[in-house]
Amino acid sequence: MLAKRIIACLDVKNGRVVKGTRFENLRDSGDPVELGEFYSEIGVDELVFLDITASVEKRRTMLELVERVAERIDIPFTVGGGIHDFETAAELILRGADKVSINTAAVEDPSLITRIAETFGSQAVVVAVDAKRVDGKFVVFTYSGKKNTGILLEDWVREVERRGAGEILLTSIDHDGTKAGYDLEMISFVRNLVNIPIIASGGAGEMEHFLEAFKAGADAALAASVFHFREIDVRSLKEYLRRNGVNVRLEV
Amino acid sequence: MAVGPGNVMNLYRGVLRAVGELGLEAEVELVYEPKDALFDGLFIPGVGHFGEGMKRLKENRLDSYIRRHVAGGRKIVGVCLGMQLLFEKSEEAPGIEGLRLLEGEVVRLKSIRLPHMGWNEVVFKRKDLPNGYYYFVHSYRVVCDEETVLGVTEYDGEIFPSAVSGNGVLGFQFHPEKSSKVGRELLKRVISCL
Repeated sequence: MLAKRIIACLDVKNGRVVKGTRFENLRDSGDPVELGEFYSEIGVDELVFLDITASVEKRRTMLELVERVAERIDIPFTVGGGIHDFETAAELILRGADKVSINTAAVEDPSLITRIAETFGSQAVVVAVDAKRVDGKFVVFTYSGKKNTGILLEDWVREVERRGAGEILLTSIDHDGTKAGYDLEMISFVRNLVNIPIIASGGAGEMEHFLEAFKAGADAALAASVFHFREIDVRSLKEYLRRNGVNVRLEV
Repeated sequence: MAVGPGNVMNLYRGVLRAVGELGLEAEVELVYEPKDALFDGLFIPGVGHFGEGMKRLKENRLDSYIRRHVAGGRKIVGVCLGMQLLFEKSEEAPGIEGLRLLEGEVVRLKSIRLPHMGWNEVVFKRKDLPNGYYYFVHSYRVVCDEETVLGVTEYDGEIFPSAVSGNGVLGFQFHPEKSSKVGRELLKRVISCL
């Protein structure tokens, strides 16, 4: 049976991990590759590197990062953050990224989803969807949650699937950063609309939150700070999930 | 074999790492075209379309190089699409002949949730190969005789061969090179048997 996945997200700026980390046993826990390798060894199933560098050097630093990760880490990884054209997506995949994540660019030009999927397979395209409640409806936001697109979540996730996306990275803006739990209502709402995998994101604070997200229909759950600050230990989390009937990958 | 695009570099790095950890005196090379010499083991990587995969092998005359290895008693290891190419044909590319090194064919998985992507459990028939969760990305599966099946996996209610062997040929539907510790262990076992 396919395992539910635990994904660690690393925000990277100018080649360094942004959010502070507390790993005494790492030489350089600000190095995304070293931190990623550490996560891989403790049983994280997948990594997401989100490059938030805002400079003309961005493309070069992203490519370098992907090469270094592919060189050293042997679990699947996604790279995202400001990928706006097919050429950049293609280059990142050819240099070793298993998947690319696109967000604003997909909303502005949905054919980008199809183009990447047709060239590299749908599993290579993750569409990141940021959504929020507006007047009782889920609405899609772009530009890191700053721009209200006016597009309804139900319309967008259906289109994303129809255009060939491999999975949806679903972030609830309302829950992000709260540590109060994933947005279960949003997860089950999207689960009823699409068949492709859903990665729940935003709000993880306790182990129970992961269990709830999987019960609500998520295929994977993503978190950043609870792992970076060692508030949740990955091995204990997986043992907890397995005790509660969730099929997860536990290494011997 | 450098038949890209896809998992060539990852598989190459995985093999290099396994050889290193085993402490073997072995040469690991990326093969772009047939050579005069034969290798003890030849890895066929590949992701993507069956028809494209066969086309790439034939363009570089690597299909006959593979056959020379089989005839010379050397081992072949196909990974993902590289495993599917070992068989006779595929539903994905009607009319295209596979390498035909193993009897059987490739058909689409029954699930509506495709591709089958993520970590799934492999149960090997042989005790010396490590069972565990390996990383999969595929939409097609092999149908073959029970004696060719080396390991099985279940996805969405369907049980399929995730590892195959026969005639000096070995195939894995999953990606050992993307499967962390257990994948490294498997590559080491395979390489130490070459």
